[in-house]
Amino acid sequence: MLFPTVDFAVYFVIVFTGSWLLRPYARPWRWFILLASCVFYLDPFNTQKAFLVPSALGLSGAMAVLGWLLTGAIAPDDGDSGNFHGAWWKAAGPVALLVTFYVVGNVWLFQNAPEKSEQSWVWLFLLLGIAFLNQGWAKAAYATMGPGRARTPASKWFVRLAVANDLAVLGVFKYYDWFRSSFPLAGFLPEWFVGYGLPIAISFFTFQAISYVVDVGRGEIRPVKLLDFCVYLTFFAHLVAGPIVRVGEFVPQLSQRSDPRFVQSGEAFMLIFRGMFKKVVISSWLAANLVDPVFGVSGGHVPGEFAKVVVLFAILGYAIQIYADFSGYTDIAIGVALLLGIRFPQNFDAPYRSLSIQEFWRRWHMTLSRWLRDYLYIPLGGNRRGVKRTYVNLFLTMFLGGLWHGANWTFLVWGSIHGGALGVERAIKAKWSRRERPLGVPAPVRGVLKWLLTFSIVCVGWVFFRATSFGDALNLLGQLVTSSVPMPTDEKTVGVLRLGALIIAGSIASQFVPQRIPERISVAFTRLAPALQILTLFAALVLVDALGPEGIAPFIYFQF
Amino acid sequence: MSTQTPAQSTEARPPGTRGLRRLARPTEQGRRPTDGKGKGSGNLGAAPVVVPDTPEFFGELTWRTLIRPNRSARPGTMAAGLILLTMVVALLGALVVNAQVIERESRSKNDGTWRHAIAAFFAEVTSPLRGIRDRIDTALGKQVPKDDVPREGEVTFLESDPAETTRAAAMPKMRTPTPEEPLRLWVGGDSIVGIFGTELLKASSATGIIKGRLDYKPSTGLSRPDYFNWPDHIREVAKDEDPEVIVIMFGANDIQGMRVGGGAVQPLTPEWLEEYRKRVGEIMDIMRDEKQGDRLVLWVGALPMGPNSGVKGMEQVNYIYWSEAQKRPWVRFVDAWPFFVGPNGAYEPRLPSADGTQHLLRERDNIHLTAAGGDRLAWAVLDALGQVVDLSNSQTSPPAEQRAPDSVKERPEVPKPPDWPLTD
Repeated sequence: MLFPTVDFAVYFVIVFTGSWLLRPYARPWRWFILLASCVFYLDPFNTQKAFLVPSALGLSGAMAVLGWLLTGAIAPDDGDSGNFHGAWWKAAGPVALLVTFYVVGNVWLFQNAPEKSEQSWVWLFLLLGIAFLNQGWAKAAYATMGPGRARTPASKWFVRLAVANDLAVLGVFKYYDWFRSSFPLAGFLPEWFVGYGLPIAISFFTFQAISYVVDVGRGEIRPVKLLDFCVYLTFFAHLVAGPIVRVGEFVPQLSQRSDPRFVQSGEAFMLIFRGMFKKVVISSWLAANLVDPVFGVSGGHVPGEFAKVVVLFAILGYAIQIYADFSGYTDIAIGVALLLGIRFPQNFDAPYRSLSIQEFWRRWHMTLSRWLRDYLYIPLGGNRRGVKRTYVNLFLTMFLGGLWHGANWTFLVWGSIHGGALGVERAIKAKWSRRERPLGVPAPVRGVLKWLLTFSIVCVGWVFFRATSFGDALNLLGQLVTSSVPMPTDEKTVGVLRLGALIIAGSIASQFVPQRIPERISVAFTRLAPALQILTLFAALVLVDALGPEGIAPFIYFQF
Repeated sequence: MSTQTPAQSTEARPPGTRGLRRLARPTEQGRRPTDGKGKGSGNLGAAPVVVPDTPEFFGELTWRTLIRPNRSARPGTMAAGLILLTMVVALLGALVVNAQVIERESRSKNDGTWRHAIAAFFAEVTSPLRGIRDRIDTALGKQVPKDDVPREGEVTFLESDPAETTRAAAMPKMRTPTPEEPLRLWVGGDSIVGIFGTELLKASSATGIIKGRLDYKPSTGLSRPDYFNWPDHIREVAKDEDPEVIVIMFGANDIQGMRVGGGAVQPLTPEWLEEYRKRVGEIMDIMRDEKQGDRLVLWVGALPMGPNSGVKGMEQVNYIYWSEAQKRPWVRFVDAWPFFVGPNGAYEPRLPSADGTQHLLRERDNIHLTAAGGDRLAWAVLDALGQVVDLSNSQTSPPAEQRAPDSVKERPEVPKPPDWPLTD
């Protein structure tokens, strides 16, 4: 289900009402949220036929019962760590049973439910199954820990196997086909799951599941209740495209009973409408008028030769489009969750004001950045194993981060550009840190140069991110320098470029607006009489709809 | 952005709160609250919480509440019930003003669902208010979409008379293009044409005797002239550019409800097929160069769609394209179907080219073409063009790794789908 649609508005009014009415009742409220999230994932409004798929429903139910029984058998919810005292096989048995059921169930479902209308059900089994499996792995790791939650070889192995398990699921559905077709030597591999669409949200829920088991394995948290974990993993507001929330910051909020008299509506509505404006108006306009005509439709080829200025506008336009699209989605997600009394971590913090690539990654997709840092960069050794290894770790982290975005060489190049830039930046900083005036220029000029360089690197990276192939990206970048096509002079194109320049400049300028301004606006909004709030919301809804095109394109990050 | 936690009842009792009691949950007693990462806490429980005896969902709701400034004890907050009221009224207002737009969007996805019935009902009830949205659109400089219900003096799709046009038409008189005077080619259609058209222009350019332009519009077709009016657009293209060859391809977006007269017709029903046939014939007629008679239309048939593509009915629309093309000498139907199916006649995403190497021809959505798929179709279309236009001055020939094997050929005729309801 897409956020800025009538479908979602109707859905959310129902969920909002039910959630606040049931909030005093802890267990029914959790079940309600879980059910609501499943409905969001299944998207019944857009299913034309065969909405109910008994086989998938039955299998999901069986998996739930099995998961509940087996994870409960590994360790009771209130149990302490180390309750198996080295008898790791007592935990391994139930987990092995769960894994077997999950694999067999998936294979059977994919063979027996090939229609698209049935796929969301198949994917629901995939999603809920991941929840049950990881609860099993987490409990097994926890139960085999030593006194004081000391890590043991058995607990470490359970965590490793859990990570391998989650990555295998991701690999099969996201990378297997690409791997088979990209490497001639892999051509002998059978066509398992080839031709099926990418299950929605798979990149996000597998990463969240990994973070849970690893956190338990590190002794940072204890396993949560199965119902809480299912609510956490499937929660509709962050399910499809993040932010990547951790158990430690989500599940405690399920236990804290929010007061229905004090819902943070000001900030929530501000975020929701800001997100809608970014997505429906900015992102859509840039895509239709500047980006797609040059890059070609998503998945297509660069359609031809363009004037340098047109290519430049397309590249800058895409930088703004992807920011407006993804941060717009995140804004809506955070706002929607806030209306239900759940706060998500911030995911974007004006990334295009960054003066370095390192700063960019502290401001762009922040929850992915910290995931990569905590579960990839630090386990690889971080900066603790010498200078050379630090550079290798930085590069590897960004390289794999690029791969996470999709099964295509272009994403690997994109990740490599950022990994390489981070390394070079680190080396330069180390060399120039002792100089008072690096490059011999005053600080303000240096700031402008750093901003320009950072933004340019990011934009070049986006060309590879957006292009269908490495060759297309190079072709486009080449046109930026060598194109001999004259600048368009027709009134229509000139008008589009002017408006595009205005939108691009305005979007970049918005990155420098102090955070306190939207905060003050949101507080001022809630001080209005409710009747005036209604009028404001009404006007905003009509305006956003009128300014945007008819129909909403899926969010860019849905494909990841 | 603030990082405080949401309005939670662990905070101090606000003024005016009634009947609060302190709850200590047995299962969570003694657990320390966690930090953001849950580090060092040892649990995920919460401290004892304070909640009202009866949840005050609406706070103090009277009519005065609605017109007085909101003075919540905590800045930036409001009672859930008031928020619900605010949301519902604002949404209903927006639904009323945007009802016509919503109905159009719903129709585009319509497959006979109850949702469209509601949208249509809403649009009907609120039709006297449609002027509000039209005025907003006009003020914003947007083109106000025309309803595709034919109105007096404003006919989008004319009734075509194939028999009449067939009698009047002759075969297009096509000249022999040269490098000095290349053939003017125009390529249009939906998003599938984005990739195929790009490859076609590359291949055409390589001949040295064809100069083309690509003009595709994603998410368009012949079913939704209110979204994008292809007949009008073709008229403009014909007037402004006067192409000698038009290559056009539709189908993938067309299997959706269409408005006919005062009602809607559901996809692939006999009424829908009849209307679609009429529209195809009409646009074929518009493409014809009536004055000079020197324009060729290459109508590229719809592709077979793969599993889970969500696109159906391609056999039916292909039969319509083919049968309508037979009635018009200036239209050459290019049967794309055989180029994307395996030996068993079924959809295949990966097929060998003429040099025997396997190529992935379709994107993961099993709808769009990859670059290799675009190449394969492009050379097939150029081959079809060469059967009508003398391309002997061409400076290139189809590379074996890009074209389909010689054994792959267009079908002599497109088979009539089973249970075909129309009489031709």
